Amino acid sequence: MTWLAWRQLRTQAAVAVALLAAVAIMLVLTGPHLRHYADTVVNTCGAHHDCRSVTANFQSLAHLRHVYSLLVSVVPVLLGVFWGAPLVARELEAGTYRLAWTPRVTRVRWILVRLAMVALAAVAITGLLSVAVTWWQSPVDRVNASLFNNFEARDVVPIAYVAFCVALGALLGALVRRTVAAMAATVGCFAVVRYVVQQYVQPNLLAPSQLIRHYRAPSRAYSRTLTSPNPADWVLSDNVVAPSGNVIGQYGGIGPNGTFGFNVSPNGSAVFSGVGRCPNRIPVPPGGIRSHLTTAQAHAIQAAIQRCVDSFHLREVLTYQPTSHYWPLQWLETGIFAALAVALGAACIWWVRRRLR
Amino acid sequence: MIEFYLDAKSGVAPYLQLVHQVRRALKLGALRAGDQLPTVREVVTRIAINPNTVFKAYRELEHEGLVAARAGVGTFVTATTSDDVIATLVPIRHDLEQWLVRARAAGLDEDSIEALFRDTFRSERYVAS
Amino acid sequence: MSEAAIETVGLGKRYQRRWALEDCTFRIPRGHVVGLVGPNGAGKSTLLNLAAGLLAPSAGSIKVLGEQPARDAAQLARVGFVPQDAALYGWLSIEGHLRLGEHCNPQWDAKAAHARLAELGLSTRQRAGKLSGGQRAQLSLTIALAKCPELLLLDEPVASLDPLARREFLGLLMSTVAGRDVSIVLSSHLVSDIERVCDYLIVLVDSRVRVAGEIEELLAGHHRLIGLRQPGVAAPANQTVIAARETDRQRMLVVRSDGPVVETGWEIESINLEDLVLAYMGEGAARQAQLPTTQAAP
Repeated sequence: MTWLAWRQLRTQAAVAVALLAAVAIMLVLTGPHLRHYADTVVNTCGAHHDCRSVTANFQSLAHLRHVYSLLVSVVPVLLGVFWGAPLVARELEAGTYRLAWTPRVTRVRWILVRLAMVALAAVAITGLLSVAVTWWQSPVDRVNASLFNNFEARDVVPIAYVAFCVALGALLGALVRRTVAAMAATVGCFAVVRYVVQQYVQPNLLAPSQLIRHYRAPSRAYSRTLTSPNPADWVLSDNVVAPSGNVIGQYGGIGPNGTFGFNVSPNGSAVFSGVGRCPNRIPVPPGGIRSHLTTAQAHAIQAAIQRCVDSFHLREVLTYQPTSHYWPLQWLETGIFAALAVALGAACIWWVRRRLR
Repeated sequence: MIEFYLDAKSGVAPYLQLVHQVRRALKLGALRAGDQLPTVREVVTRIAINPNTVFKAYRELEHEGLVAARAGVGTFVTATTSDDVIATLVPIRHDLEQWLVRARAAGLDEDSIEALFRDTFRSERYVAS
Repeated sequence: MSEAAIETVGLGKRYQRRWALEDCTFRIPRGHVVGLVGPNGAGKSTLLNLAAGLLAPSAGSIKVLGEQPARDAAQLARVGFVPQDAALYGWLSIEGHLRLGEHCNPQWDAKAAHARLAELGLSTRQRAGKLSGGQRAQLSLTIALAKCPELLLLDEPVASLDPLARREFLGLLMSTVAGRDVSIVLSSHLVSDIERVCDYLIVLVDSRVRVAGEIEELLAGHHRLIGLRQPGVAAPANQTVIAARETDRQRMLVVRSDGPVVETGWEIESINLEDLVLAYMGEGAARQAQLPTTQAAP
């Protein structure tokens, strides 16, 4: 049985390995230079060069970074679609499963051997690809502070994804019994499951860190938005929160459309839409608030607005995953999808054994 | 050796068709005493019929005393039409051929010839019995 | 030898809502070549798949060679199955298929399989995908036969073959029957093939078994009766009408005879297999349609 499973996989595996080797060669050819450039030129640009042009040069050296990241994101789905989905479905369509469900080879052994072999091959190929791309990308992620940007295309997560996709494809193939339909369903189901895990499961598993400050009206001297301690941190949200707990704005804005918007009447009373009316008056000059102001007038207005905003007792809350959460999050995501993969694989075996009759 | 065939449209039971073919071959001298009939396996492979049909035909022929089965070897023809009989067939056949030429010359087509022959054959047999 | 090749009691198989096979009770003794005929969708494939253990019954029971199909490895080894359209791996060579068969089956007559392929003039290095329909069917049969099964099930084995390939395939099949003790059940919608190779018949119509029995007995027990149409007279006593057709004067029946026809005025003719099968199929069709015009018969 192992022999047959291997014969069935052989050609496809050879093609996959060849493609993997081609990608690996490209990475190896460009990787060391990229790394060297990041370590030397970019790191020390403040002292010797114009940093902006150096960084731009670095980005153009790494212009294929999006392609490689996309490749690592897409390969698990592709393997699920082209290796997982036909695993059972094609045999059912062609009737060839009858050749192998025989006295010596039980259905369980048949599906177990084939599923295990395909899953292992898919995991090996995706794992190698992920390791190679992660290595190549590490200077890019460092320079761009984009550790989390391609979270699903780095390190161990893709391995769990591919195991999940292959098991999902195999199960759907056994259920649907049509290869093409199972392929489409695999893509759809994977997208849905990933969305659900990302939106509803992950946040509850590892609580993000928070940064809270008293909300101040933005000004020339004062940055509108709150930034996380490390630029590589993964910012989940940056909300302006009222004492009631209601979120009334985002990224430093409290007006409509996320801007800092308010209405001031000529007599100096001001209203912040969605927040409330200012208790104090804004010292509006005779020409109106948008007219040319003296420095003193501008300061007076700024102070009055700040006093007004202070009276609302707003807080700005930044929610983020610090870089220290990177590996815990990687393992959590990996663990979730690996567990799902095992469950789906078991379901597939059960279905083939008990229900496919 | 005899080559069997089967006419699905004749309405005659397949085993009887085989029996008739052996009888005819005997009469025409195509089969003689000591000749071996094809094995059941050979027959069924060639004309794709149920082996029981061939068994049944051979049993029938055995029953008529025309053939005999030798265990483990095969089925052999025992009866034979003497050379004299076969020799007399030649002039009769010759006469028949001449008669056919005359019939055609008289303008009879295939169907008419066949009908005429069958009709004569039947009434002659009726008289003879 | 006493146990039946296939024995069913109230056997039924349902797919979602539709019953593909319903309330089938019959017993096929061993040592026969059984023809399973019926219109498309009558349940022939379902019945064969149930017998092979590839499907599980939804109702009733089926025993194959005295045991539940696919109950264990020993039972599986006794039954060979040639599925419709000769399911083979297109990318795998003939040699590969034989190796697979040898690997998968405890009993495997490699020598006979190779001899048969040599007889067919097939090179074992050829890929199955490159074979003609006839060659694929032959390979499929060779694989099934190499298992040395006691019962061989064939699902429409010759449906897609040209006449020559069909003849060769059936010839190979019959030579196997001649050589060893094996029961065969084959489905087909070609009555002429059934007539040649089978000695037992099952007519399946509308997911039910209409008639089953040895062909010789069936032919002896059925007649065509032709008589004048008489008001109030459906058929002679002891005769079960299978199919009836009538004009304003004449009445033609196909009947199953449970005794001799004692009434006068009926001309009795023997019936051939094709007409017998058609008579049973026709009844099913009429029952199914329930057209008012078919109720003209009293």
